[in-house]
Amino acid sequence: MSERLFLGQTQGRQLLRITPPGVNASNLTSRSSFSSDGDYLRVHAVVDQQLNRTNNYHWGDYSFPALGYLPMAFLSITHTSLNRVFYPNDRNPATTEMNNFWDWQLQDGHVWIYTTAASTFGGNYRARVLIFKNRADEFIGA
Amino acid sequence: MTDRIRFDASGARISKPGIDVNVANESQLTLYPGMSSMSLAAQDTVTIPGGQRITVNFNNPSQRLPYVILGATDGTAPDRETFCAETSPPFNYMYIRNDVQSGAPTRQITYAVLVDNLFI
Repeated sequence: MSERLFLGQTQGRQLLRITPPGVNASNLTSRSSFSSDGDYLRVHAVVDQQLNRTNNYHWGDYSFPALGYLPMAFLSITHTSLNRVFYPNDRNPATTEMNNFWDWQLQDGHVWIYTTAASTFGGNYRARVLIFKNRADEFIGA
Repeated sequence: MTDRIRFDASGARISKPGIDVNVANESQLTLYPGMSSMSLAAQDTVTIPGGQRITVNFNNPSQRLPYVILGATDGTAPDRETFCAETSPPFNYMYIRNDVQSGAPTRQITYAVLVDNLFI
């Protein structure tokens, strides 16, 4: 039976490793499900809302608890009657129902999502923003 | 040696390398009680001929909207007009599409599907 959890001191450091079935956690060259040497995308807040609509301009303005730094975030947008979600985000004319003028801004504690031109298809859009505790500036060597 | 793992009545805490877990704030911890994280629902590298798409099924009982990260070995950036991923409710599948670009070449595409296990 494989040892799937290692907790203790090894190679001069304290380590907690959890491995998938069949993989020994004490073998540091094996893959792991969790390692205290790793970092993870830690969810801080999620915005999942239908955007406001004014004369076919779409916008949303949402607050979340401030962290004291600019967090990393992912955005997804979809048309509420279409429900197709693309990665990277969809746009017109690749999909007729989508708008080609999405923009968004993020600061610590606040996110804005909006169109800079009126949509031609009509209907409503849903936005989902995953906001992480991970710092955005950790990934650019700052 | 820096203390990096701590168990107490509230649960387990693990700090990043070099950070003392006893004084670390949340941004310096990689594990803490009640932490919500992104789980890897699927990942692989696939070869898709131009003009074709494949279906990838994955486990997502919460039916939360996943987030998909894509890359291609030819260096092309994923885009709605090069190659992309598409999903829809109940968000337990996605297409990886190499059929959105006219004359698309065969591409070797690496993907990862992330789903949040939201406890907050």
